[in-house]
Amino acid sequence: MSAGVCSLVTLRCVSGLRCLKAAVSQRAVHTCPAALGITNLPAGRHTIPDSRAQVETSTAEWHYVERLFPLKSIPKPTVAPGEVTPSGWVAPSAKPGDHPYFVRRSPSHMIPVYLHHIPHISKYRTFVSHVEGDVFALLEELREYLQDRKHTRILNMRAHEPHQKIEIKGQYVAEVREFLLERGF
Amino acid sequence: MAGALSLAWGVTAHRPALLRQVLRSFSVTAVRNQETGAAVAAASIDSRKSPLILDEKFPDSNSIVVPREAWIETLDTSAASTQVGLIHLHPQVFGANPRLDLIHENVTWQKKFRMVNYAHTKVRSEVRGGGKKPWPQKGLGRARHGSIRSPLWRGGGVTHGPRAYTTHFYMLPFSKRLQGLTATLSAKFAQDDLKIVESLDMPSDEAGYLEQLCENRRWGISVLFVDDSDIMPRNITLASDTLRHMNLMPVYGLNVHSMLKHETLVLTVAAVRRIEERILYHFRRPDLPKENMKRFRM
Repeated sequence: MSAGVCSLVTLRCVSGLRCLKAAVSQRAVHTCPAALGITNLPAGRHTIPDSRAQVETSTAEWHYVERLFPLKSIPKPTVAPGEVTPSGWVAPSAKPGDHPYFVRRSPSHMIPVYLHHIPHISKYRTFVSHVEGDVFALLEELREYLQDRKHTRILNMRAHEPHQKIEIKGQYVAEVREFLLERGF
Repeated sequence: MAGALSLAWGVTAHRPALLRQVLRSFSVTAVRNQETGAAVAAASIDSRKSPLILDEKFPDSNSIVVPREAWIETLDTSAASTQVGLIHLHPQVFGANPRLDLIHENVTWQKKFRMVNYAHTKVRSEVRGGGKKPWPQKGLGRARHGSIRSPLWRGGGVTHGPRAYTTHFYMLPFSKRLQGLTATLSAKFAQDDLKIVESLDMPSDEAGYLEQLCENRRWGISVLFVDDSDIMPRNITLASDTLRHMNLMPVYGLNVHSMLKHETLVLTVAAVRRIEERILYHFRRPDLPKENMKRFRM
């Protein structure tokens, strides 16, 4: 390739453009399906050396290229509902309508229970998001469950219906996750 | 068309000023053929007896919210029925919670990020004069002052006043912009202010036709038509050209402010599917947190 370019350059230097045209035969723009858009380019006059005139179009290995594309979404594991995978991830088994409420999984298919921590005042809050349907029913069931499990006198929790969230004061991530897994979410 | 052609040759020989008008009539007639083609297609939709039922189930939604149902209408008033079909809308896009806080944040952002404040005041160093000490420090029994342009003086400089070219630019987090769109679309749909049409093809290019159509269907004064493509059909472009309260917009220009500004939002079926595809892609993309962390690109 580089030798060819060098020879072309020397040709141009020695005898000018006319000689260059003689050396490289003018041929039509290559119109295989992949190069259709080349006609839209501003400089439409391309010369392709005869040695490179033969172009083969192959799509056999395209799936190797596709593997390199970034994922458009996180693929859902193909396991049966309720099945526990070796990593500990449980596939959701609840269907809309099983309970008056429904908790959607996050886009990464995890249970949407999060801990908010403000370090300098040592404040912990537990959030359940993506709660659809009757948020207050979930709040009452969760309150009973946590009181049985933790034997706490005061459970400071509230339901935020417009934001589809439940907020609990304190660190209850593990307990809330267990509760939601029991319900099949 | 041949008659128009001969007439055009006869007239343009004497009055070149009419040439533009004649050419315009040419282009309209040329496009009318296409539009009649569209009308023929619409007629075939009428004649095929089976309405357009796009009842997708959206099994990926995994939500308690069922798919929203909407009529598909047509802008052709000569059709046998206004409604030509039924469409299911994705619950995550058109059945989301109407988050008024996010809608408000989006509207505020859209107003502010393009705002530049030009109010300007001069500080004491910029006001003319004031270099000399007005009177000696001691011995006169008067208050001590070093400059007549001090902020304490009448005609003096202003402390902490507005300074020109104060931008109010900021970027709302990407997720909030995204949820603002779904919240507004869902609120518009719940209030019956969102209409779905088959396409924006109309048989007439007159403004009165469009106004009468919107009035008959109780669409209100201001209507926003959204299509997937940004090359709109010629008739609706001509008809809405002089009506400043009826606007056309491609899907990529859809925004919360415009949706709230217009009383009715009219989407084509292609626009609906494109909006769903784009919004769901952004909801599910794995690098959404990264997009949120990114401040903005210049």
